[in-house]
Amino acid sequence: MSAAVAFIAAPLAAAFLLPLLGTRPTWGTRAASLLTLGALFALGAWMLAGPVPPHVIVLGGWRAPFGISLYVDASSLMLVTLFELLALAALWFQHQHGQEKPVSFDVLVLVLMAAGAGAVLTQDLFNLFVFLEIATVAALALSAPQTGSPRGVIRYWLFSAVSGAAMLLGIAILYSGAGTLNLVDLGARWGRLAEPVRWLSGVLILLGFLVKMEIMPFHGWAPATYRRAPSSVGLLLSGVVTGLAAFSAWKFFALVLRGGTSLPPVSGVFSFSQALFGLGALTLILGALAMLAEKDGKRLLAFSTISQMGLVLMALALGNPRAVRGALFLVFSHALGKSLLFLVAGIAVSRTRRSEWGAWRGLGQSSRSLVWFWFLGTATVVGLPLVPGFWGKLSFVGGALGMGMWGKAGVALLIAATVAESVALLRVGHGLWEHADLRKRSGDVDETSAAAGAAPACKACAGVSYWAGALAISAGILWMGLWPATFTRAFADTAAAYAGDQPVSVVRTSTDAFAPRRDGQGQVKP
Amino acid sequence: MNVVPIVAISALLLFGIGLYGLWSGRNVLRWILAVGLMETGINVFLVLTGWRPGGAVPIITGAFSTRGPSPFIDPVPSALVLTSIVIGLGTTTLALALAVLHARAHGDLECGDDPENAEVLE
Repeated sequence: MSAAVAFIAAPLAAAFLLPLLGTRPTWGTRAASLLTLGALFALGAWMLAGPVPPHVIVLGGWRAPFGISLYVDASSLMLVTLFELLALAALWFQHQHGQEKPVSFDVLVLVLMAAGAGAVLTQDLFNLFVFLEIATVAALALSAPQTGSPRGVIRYWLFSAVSGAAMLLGIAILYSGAGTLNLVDLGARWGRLAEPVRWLSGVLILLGFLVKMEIMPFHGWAPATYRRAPSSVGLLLSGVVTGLAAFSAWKFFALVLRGGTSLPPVSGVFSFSQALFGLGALTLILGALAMLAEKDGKRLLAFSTISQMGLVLMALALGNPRAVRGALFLVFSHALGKSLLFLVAGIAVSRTRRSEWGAWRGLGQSSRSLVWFWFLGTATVVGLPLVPGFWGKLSFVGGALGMGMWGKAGVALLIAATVAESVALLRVGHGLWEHADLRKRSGDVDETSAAAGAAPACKACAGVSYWAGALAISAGILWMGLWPATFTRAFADTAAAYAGDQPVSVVRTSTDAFAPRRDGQGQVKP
Repeated sequence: MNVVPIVAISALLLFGIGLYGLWSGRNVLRWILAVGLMETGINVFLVLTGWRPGGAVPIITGAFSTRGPSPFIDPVPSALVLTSIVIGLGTTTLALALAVLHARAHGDLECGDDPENAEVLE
């Protein structure tokens, strides 16, 4: 048994124990939830400080493919540790600046963490489905506004309920054909399944992932949900929920569909992975263009997430090791950069009571940190050199250029989308930076931005505790951008392990499974 | 009598009625019921995937051999359905809570687009 199980068990235990301290938030409940997340982050960092040999954890002594197994390697551990960091930043922000929430808010964040870690680590398709559903339920409940219209969240529920039903149907069809739910075992039997079974189950299950990744045309729920949700929840939605959806979609795509190569071409013209690549490209460019037209700051960030996930899907669909490495890098860089942007947006919204970014003009005058963090987040998301997004996009370009016309078109689209995204984000940053007087002179002052101008200078805004979450995330960005080698190696190893002939946790075939156990770890040599 | 077609058709019908319910209105309660019907249809289908002619309830009561065809139905889909029902309960409860929020904010359950210029406080 590895300590990695704690990433699932500890937040769940804490989530169920926390309400015993009372339903009203107190110093104690806040400290308890932050300490749990902090301890898990420390555990992840401690495990990553040493070598992390890839290993399989067999739960309850039931060996794969009968039981549920977890697969732990450096990349998955890094992703889980990142989730803990983001949750810490989000909760800290909510406690410090957000409106007061009942203890259930902290409980839901902890549940989301457990589900996130579970979805990243599990090797069982149904277990993955369950964790995705738990994550969705937690995210839904977190996004529900205390006052005002819940229509965005209802749409989110509708999209995720239907996509969850599609996924369950896909799993049922797949199980009826293959008789197993272990991802690696499914991959081994995939080639022997009838073609309709492969098509139906592959498309239905991927649909579930695509909705959670906000891929167009399944993104309709995201902008309204992000706008209404507290900014700390926006951070969790874009960093954790899409991140775990992207990672688990890749697990399914790489392990079961074997990179889409095992499906016959769609009507003989283009392949399954080319179709996914096309969807990703569409999402990338349309998301970036929508950002240019968007007047609402939080919806703008939602479209930025949509656009970035399009790029991640393109990289995953390319399927070569460089592109996959880039995709993993992008999941990290996007989560870090977008979190910074959401923290800044959260403070801007709480000061101005408006989410139109036009109303945020001049806010940076009283606290320059707002502007610096916005620009660092922007740089990370669009991928300036020396921040993580750059290495991700570089890997993607390297992987795409070797893939013929499709790849080259993808790179061209990426450049166009990056320009659009930079303009949209820098425009907001410039608005924050701008002096209130300039704004008045240019004549576009309205009542909403006047409220921003009237915001008193914030003395506490320069304090470390005010920006603790943003500082921690910035440290992560700088570390990952300046010393990417550790991450590159881990991602490359993972990409190779998933693409290999003997992918990750080698499972026994079911006939072999009644044979006596040879080792306690559940790892079986091929 | 072969029960498979009857069960399969009911599953399909439940799923189809649910799908129609989603498409044919904007009422939140209607959506919740429709999703419930779809999920039930899928659950019935899932149970069906584990069924085999003459299969017994998969509880070991006496000696049996691991060689040859199993005397039991496949227990895995039943376990999956249990989990799926529990998830369905959770999401339905949550959706009903959202419906209450909707009724409080708008006075009815007809879910249109979110008003674009409404105030956002956090």
